[in-house]
Amino acid sequence: MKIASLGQTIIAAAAALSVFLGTGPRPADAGDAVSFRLDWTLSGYQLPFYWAKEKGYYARENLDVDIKEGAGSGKTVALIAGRQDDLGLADFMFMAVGAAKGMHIKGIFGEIQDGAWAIISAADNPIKKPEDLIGRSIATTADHKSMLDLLLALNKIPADKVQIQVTGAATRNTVFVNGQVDSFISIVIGSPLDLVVRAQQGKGKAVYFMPFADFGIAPMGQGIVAHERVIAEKPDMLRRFLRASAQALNDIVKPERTDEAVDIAMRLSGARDERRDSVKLQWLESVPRLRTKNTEGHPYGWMSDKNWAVSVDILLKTGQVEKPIPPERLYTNEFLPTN
Amino acid sequence: MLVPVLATAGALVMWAAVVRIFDVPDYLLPAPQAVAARIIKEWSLLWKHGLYTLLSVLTGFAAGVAIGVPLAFAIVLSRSVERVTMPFLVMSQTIPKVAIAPILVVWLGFGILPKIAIVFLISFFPIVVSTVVGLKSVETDMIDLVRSMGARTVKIMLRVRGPSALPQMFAGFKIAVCLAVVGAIVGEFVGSDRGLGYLLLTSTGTLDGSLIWSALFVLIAMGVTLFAIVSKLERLAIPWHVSVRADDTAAYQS
Repeated sequence: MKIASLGQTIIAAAAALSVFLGTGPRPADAGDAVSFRLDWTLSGYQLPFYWAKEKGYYARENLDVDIKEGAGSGKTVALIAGRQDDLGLADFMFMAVGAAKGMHIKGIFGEIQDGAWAIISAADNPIKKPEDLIGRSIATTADHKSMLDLLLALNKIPADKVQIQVTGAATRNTVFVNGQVDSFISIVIGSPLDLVVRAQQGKGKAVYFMPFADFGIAPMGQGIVAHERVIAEKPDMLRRFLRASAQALNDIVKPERTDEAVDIAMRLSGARDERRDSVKLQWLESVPRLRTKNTEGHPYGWMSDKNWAVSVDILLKTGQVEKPIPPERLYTNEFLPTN
Repeated sequence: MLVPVLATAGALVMWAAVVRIFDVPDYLLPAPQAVAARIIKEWSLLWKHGLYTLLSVLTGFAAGVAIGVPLAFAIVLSRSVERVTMPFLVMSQTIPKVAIAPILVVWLGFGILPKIAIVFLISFFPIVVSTVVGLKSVETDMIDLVRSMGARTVKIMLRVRGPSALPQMFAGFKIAVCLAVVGAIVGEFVGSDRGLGYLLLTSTGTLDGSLIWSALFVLIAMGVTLFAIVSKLERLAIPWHVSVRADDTAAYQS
């Protein structure tokens, strides 16, 4: 009797605690909770997810999506691998390295199909080709250094001829603007466009972009990542999430929706007003990268073996993975909407 | 001596067992034998980067001692100096070094200078505070005695307060030298092209678990060795003090 009473007390206490911690049973109309981790603070290519939330597309799919800012693709990938969030938006190159190292994660929606890497330098002293880096300095975050190593290796430039400075993400652009380095490496659709907007507003110097694609490097970009256990346990949730996200993406590629999409994302993310022009430009630069010639005729988010093969080849050449990774280990188109 | 060795061996065996039993992936926690093999394989790389970090640690720490100790003497000698400097000292300590490091890189560039500056800032405060406490802790009876024998303030400082402050000063040095290693890594994390912090950053970027842990072990070895050197200097400088003698008489403790 005493034991039964103790057991009931424990169950009651656990139920009370779970309600207190927010882990208890949810109201029937709240939808399935989805924790969605972005790769960075607001960037243009994230607009579709805020649009889907604002327009009720997720709610219509009975999903209660919590969009959370990130602190870099590396951290987002680690959070997904550790099942701290259900889904994440991350650079697929990081996801592939993680998968090769034993993380049980997979790409389920390829948003940016062309990673659009570039060397950014001052327009009045530009770096127009890899050879121009000789004797010059370049800032890179630790995550991006292997891409720089690849550019140098493919163009037969000895790494010791270039002054490579590894910096934190927050410092990289500042040291460039301040003239501590001649250039930095980044994806085009990210923070470098803040510098372009600053130049347009007369607050800074014009910058020059040297795209990696012009020198033989065009890897996959950002996409949605899920843990294999989530894929196995919640396939229906993934289908509903991608259906809503794809609908949002199809909505806002229409130029007349751009301003409204930017406004929504600015409001929901709480980004500073002065970033508005930059976020808009990031989205406009993202749109042409939603498809490549290998994905033409397929819905947004669809990934091709050919594009992935290019990315895996880059990872092999940079030594980030030791042996080829089979495509089915890296991605699946299984959850994409069919129409 | 046997007990620490056995404890370390036990910890390593447990580490290896956890990795094996739970099949922990390399990027999360590599097995100790994998880390040992990597240290041997990458010895020259670790040595090269370790020396660079050590240089900024030693230079920044030496600057902390060279400026901190005389400043502490000045604070004790003059109330005006104390009133002027102490608020700045406390403020400098409350600023998170991680927050100020990027600014130092922008000001001082990518060379070794910002790393030395961060090491200095992080190690300076415990040196000053412990020295001030030590210098002020001398019994007033002792000061009155030597003053009655004709000693002036400077002589009292050098002959009485200084030697009496040594135990507290060394306590501060021991804290500061460990913090100095942390400061050097913070500086290298913000912007660098060499050093163990650089190695940690780049290997984290490629999920190279065994190299991350190799660099960490070199850092631990560096911190422990520097701490041991300061402890040895302490034993040589103040063999008479109870803290040093207590170590020698530990065997007699009940």
